[in-house]
Amino acid sequence: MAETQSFTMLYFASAKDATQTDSEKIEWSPSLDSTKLTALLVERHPALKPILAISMYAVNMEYTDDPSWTVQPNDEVAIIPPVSGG
Amino acid sequence: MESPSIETLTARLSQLEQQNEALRQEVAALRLEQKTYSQHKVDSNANGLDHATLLSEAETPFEKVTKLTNPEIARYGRQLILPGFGIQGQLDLRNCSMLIVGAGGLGAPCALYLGAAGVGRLGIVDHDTVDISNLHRQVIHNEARQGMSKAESAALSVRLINPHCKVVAHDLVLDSSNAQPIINSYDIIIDATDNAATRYLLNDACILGGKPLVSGSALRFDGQLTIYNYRGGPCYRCLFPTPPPAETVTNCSDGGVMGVVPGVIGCLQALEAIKIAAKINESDVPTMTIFSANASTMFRTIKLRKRKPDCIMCGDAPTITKLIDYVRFCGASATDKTPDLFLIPMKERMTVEEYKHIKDENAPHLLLDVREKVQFDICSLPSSLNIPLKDLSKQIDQVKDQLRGQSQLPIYVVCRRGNDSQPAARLLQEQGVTTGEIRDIVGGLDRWADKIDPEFPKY
Repeated sequence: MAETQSFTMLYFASAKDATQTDSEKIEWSPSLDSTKLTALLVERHPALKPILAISMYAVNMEYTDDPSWTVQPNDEVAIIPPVSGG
Repeated sequence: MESPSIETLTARLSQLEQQNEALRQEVAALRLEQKTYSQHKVDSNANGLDHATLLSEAETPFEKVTKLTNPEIARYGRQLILPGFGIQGQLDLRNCSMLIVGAGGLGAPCALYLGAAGVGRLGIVDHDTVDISNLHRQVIHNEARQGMSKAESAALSVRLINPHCKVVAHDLVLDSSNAQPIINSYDIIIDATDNAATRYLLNDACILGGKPLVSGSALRFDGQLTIYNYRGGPCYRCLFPTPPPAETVTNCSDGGVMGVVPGVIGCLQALEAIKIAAKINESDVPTMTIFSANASTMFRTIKLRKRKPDCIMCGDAPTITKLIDYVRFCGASATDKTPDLFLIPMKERMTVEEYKHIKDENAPHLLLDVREKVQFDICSLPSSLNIPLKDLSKQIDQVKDQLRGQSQLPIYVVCRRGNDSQPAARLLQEQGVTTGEIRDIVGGLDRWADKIDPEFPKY
């Protein structure tokens, strides 16, 4: 039997506050695009919803806004909300 | 009673003499500082230098030089002998003008390091005044300057550390009506502000003026650093096209901030500005540096793309061609002050004086404090029950338990400033927790400290 594959989510700033964690491993499934990923994350952490709407996504430490992108096994996906304070 | 010995008195005398000397030195230091400050004021007044004049002073291109003076060479020696910087780097810095917007936690170290490093002209914008609660992170100011304009205080500190740097204090709120000419008169802009509206304003003004924007931000234990509009890289709107809804934005006053965190980011902003001025690492790809002070990996670098061709500001066909109303765009004011919330009509609420009366009368009631535990631990009123607002709907049974069958017991809700207490009171009313009255205290514990108990701590 094949081992289950996973990917890692990284949460920064207010995303970290909303999820109460700075990272988590999630079981990978095929054709998980950004819309499906967003839905999955909101289901896991309802408090993330308003934050995802304003956040930047980075995959393996690289900014992405490619609409055809899907999560690959072992990807590291970061949610980076803007920080306004100073 | 035995009279004190000569030895005791002599020791006491020498102790007092030491204290006397320490006080003298402190007064002398303060006098010197005030003299510098008032001298600057006098100079300004004598020349009729009001804000408009200061502005036009900032607009005039400052005199560039082709060589450094001997005092400058002595001062910057440690930088001059750096391979990859050297005399050309120092001259580039001397011939560069930079504008720091915000003389707070980010701007404080940034201004000090840029001034000390030898930037030719440094503008500092801030509309606020120095407050004691700023000083744990805004280390450019000091206790004696409480109430002084932050722009003036920061300018004074830079002048004290390096009189060669020409500092211009802009004591004003930057907005769409005044930002463009100020930004156009500097080479590099540093975003050290504390609110979303000013961040979008600076971004747009830098695109329109063609200026690189060294942007930093910090809250709690987190910081971000990015250079926008530089060498084909993205602008702030490319990454964050949608402004954050006002209710999702936390300021330092409500969210807290570890003083060193904006310090770290402010220092990095100074470094990036120096690298731009001295044309160091020009071929680097655009990145965002993320600082997580309480994580095991403190720094991460995210690679960014080029600017977005469809960006409404810096794209190929921009739809924004002049500055807009940013307060309206962000639905939040251009400061980091917490506005008062008016969810419940005043007549249905309770003043601190009324609550004092209830307390003095020993009238039975439940006092519910809805601040976060970390705030409750600093100070609280006796016999108050702490359930943070965000946990209240889950823990409503705990409130009911506290009534112990007294179904008519009034409940009073308190928080820090009288904002969170309002939705909390509403929630209790909707849940019908008691048949007695449910009211929240206007102005919260801050007002309690101001009006009722001066011994009660304010934070």
